[in-house]
Amino acid sequence: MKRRPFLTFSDVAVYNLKRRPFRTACLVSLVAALAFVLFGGSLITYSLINGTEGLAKRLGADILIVPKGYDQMVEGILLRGEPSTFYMNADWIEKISALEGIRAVSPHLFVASLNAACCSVPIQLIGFDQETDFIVTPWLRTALPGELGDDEIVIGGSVSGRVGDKLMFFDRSYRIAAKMENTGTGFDASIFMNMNAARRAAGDYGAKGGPSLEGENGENASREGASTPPEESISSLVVLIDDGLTAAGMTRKINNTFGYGKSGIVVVPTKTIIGNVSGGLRALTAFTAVLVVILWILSLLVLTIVFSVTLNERKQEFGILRSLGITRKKLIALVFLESGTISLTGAAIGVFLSALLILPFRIYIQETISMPYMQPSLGKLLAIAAASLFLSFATGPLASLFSSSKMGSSDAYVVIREGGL
Amino acid sequence: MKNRMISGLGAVVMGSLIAFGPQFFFEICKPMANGRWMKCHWTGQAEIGVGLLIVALGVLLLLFSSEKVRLGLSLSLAFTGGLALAFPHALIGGCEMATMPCRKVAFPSLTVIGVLTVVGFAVNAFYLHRKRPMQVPMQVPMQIPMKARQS
Repeated sequence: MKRRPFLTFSDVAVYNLKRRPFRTACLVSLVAALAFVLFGGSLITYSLINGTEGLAKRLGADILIVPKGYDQMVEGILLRGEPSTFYMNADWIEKISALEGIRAVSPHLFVASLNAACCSVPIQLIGFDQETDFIVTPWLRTALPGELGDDEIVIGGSVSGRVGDKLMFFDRSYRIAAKMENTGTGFDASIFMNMNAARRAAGDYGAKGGPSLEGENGENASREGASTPPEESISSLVVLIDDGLTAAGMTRKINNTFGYGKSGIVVVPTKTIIGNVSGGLRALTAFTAVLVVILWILSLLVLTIVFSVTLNERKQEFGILRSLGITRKKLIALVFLESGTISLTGAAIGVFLSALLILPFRIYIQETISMPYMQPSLGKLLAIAAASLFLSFATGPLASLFSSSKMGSSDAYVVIREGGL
Repeated sequence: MKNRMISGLGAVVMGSLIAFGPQFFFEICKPMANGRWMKCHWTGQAEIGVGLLIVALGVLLLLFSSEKVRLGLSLSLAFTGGLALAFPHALIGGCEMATMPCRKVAFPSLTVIGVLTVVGFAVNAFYLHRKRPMQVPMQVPMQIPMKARQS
């Protein structure tokens, strides 16, 4: 085995850094802060973009129709999975279908569970019509062969249980027929069932003390739906319009036909929901980008100044090393090794801490931001980490470029004389 | 002395957070409507034991000056940190719904503290291992070539 030399070139760089522990710690912290913000900002921004794209894919409708005053609740269900129960009359299916320019209409029924065995917080149950549905069914097919029975459910990615397990809602047992992938939207915390099962659950909900469908106008019950019997209730309509028509135009048409504000319904173009999310996302992305650029320039500037001052102070040392026979190239390499060690250590610490803080708190971040949030796959996560590590690491060698080139251009004699020897 | 204070106090703080965090700061889920506790409650109870063990090891770290003893204590702290991680993620677990308070805040906080304990004390053990008196080679007597010696 080859014997390790007593003092290697990299040992010299490490000893030089150890000689000034406070300065080294400050520089490492600066690069760590840069890497932390770079990786954290990129990860959160990427997750939000991922979530918004997921939402756009899942919301395959052009228009949503909900009872008047409940448009915010639908947004809460879709974006954050906030459980709500509200109803409107099912005759809207026929009224809307009869309009010219409507390609497809499908109803949804939203029921908030009270307590479930899996979880002590209410959960959103969503009933959908399997014959007309074009939003849920297309992505259920990947997980569920065949039709859903009345005692079968499909659970979102964040809901407990495995396929074949049973879950209790309103004292009824439901078999989990399939589980969805995480989408970063409110659907992750929802449970899907066929329309019959959802209507039965809505009846159970009223019987168990939730706002009644038939009489009491509870907090969550629609003004119109409060007097609607469960067999004829729906919560929202998802609508597809003919090609060539715009959602805004169709919204105007529906409002004109049924009377804006008098009909008891609100027409929400889905682009408005996605647009609201995208607007917030654009502001956040711009803020993160500006913060990262400012921090990067600041780090580069501070490191350049510190390296320049340090190398100026060490002129004697470099002069002696040159007179001992160390080449100019080797000296420059020593400076790069020192700055590289500082920036690599800082970058690794920053990326590690950022990952440690952001990855486990996925759900908390999603709820705080109130936007669709889906963390990237492992491969993409590693790519973001590698890019952040490289950009942060590059700061050190880049910062020492100026001073090392200046040092490399002077003669040993001049360096020693200037150093005062 | 500096290492002893930082690592010892660090262990006391980490242990206290592991033991009492789920009880007071980042709370686990409340009992269900029927009064039954969910799994995360028992994880919180187990973490009290592990956290107090880490505090005790941290106090020992403050008391002993021998680097060999502190090396052993740091290694045991790293493994105990691993145990603090294992309770919520493998040995007991918690509520399966990701939006429940335990999964949203308490377990992620325990993960951060547990990983910092494992990594921090593994690094400290490595540092103490490297710091132990180095085998400095004796000064090698100048090798005089045989021919020169004869002449």
